[in-house]
Amino acid sequence: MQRRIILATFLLMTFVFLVRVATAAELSGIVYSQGTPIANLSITVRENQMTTKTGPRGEYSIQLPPGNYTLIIRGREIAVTISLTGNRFDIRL
Amino acid sequence: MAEDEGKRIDKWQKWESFAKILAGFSAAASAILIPILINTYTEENRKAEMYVKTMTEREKSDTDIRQAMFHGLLNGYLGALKDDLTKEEEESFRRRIMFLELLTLNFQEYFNAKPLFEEVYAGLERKRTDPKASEDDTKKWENLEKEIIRVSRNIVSRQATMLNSIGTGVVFSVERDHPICVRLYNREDFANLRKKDGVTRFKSYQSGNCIDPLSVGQMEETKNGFAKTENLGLKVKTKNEAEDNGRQSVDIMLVKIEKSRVTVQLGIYDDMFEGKVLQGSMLKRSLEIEISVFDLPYMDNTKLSDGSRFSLVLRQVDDDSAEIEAIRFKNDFLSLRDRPVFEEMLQKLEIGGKRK
Repeated sequence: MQRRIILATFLLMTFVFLVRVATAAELSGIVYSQGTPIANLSITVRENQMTTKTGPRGEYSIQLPPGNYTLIIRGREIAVTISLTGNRFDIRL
Repeated sequence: MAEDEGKRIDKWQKWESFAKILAGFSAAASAILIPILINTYTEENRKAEMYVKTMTEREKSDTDIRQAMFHGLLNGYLGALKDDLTKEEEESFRRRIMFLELLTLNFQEYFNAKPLFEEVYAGLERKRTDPKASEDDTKKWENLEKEIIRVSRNIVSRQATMLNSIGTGVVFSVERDHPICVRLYNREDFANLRKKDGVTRFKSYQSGNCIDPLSVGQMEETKNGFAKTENLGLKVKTKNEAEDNGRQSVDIMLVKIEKSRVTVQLGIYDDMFEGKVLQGSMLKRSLEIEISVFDLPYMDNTKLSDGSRFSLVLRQVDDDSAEIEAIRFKNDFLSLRDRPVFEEMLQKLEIGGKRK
């Protein structure tokens, strides 16, 4: 009986985790500095310390579950909210 | 027989009459047309001469005005500088910044004002960091430092925009001790060229160095030209066999960061292509340089092996990183201020030639 409870709990937790991962949404956009897209700029998500860098045209893309996050770019904090539908967020420094 | 003779004479008389009429008509037509043609030709020549003379006069007066302006501004700046050596007041620094802005905006193609900017900035820094300065004074000098940087950035931005219109540029962030490779290619090259695998396109930048440490396919320079290192040993190729189409890449690594300048380690590479596929990269030069917010790309640039030039513009400095713009442009760049005059002259001359 106890074994069944443990197994059920484990399965439930795995299910919840997978659902959360599966519902991660993409946050993407372009980072501009003084009006020009900037490449190779580090973007860190404070909540989970995930880091990415902008591409050659200043583009970035991060996979995150829906919710409120804080992006750190050059020491500046930028609040962002991610929903399940497409999230396009251009950043102008 | 007499009849035949009569007919022949009659025929010749008719031809003679026709010829006389034709000659008379031609003489009259010539008398009218030749003066008209000469007049038209003379008029065209007169217009062309007038045009050249007007343009020359305009250029001459423009040069005279600019010469007078330059002397006036430089003397004004030096006059203000003379006051500063004794006074060093906020107002004298403001005047110097204003003169520098005027000088650079109007003579940026001819005059490198970087030493003057740095001299003023050093003076402001000295005042700001003076232990005897009050908090208000420190704030005042700091604001002036920001002002001179703003003036410089404005001019640099204009020049960068101009150079980007005739070349290619990329803006990137570089972190301390993390090298970045910047490809100084033109737009067509990014569309057409491929990496060693023959498939992957080039991006304007990549993290890390431009080449890995010695690998298969890397070109090394020998006495006879370029040699391709392979697992089987050296295979000598002449320079023509490996098409050197003059493409360059630059390694940039941030070494030191200060408030208004950064020191970077640069590695300049020649990228060798056969057709459209990269064969390898050759390190041509390695150097350490300082990039300042007062560097003007018109004046502060480096010549590449294919004759073009590139400039590094410092846009922003943070604690551990710097924002730099790399611009590649043609060596025979003329400022657009001059170009419309030449273009206009060429068009006029071309139209004049076509009419003839």
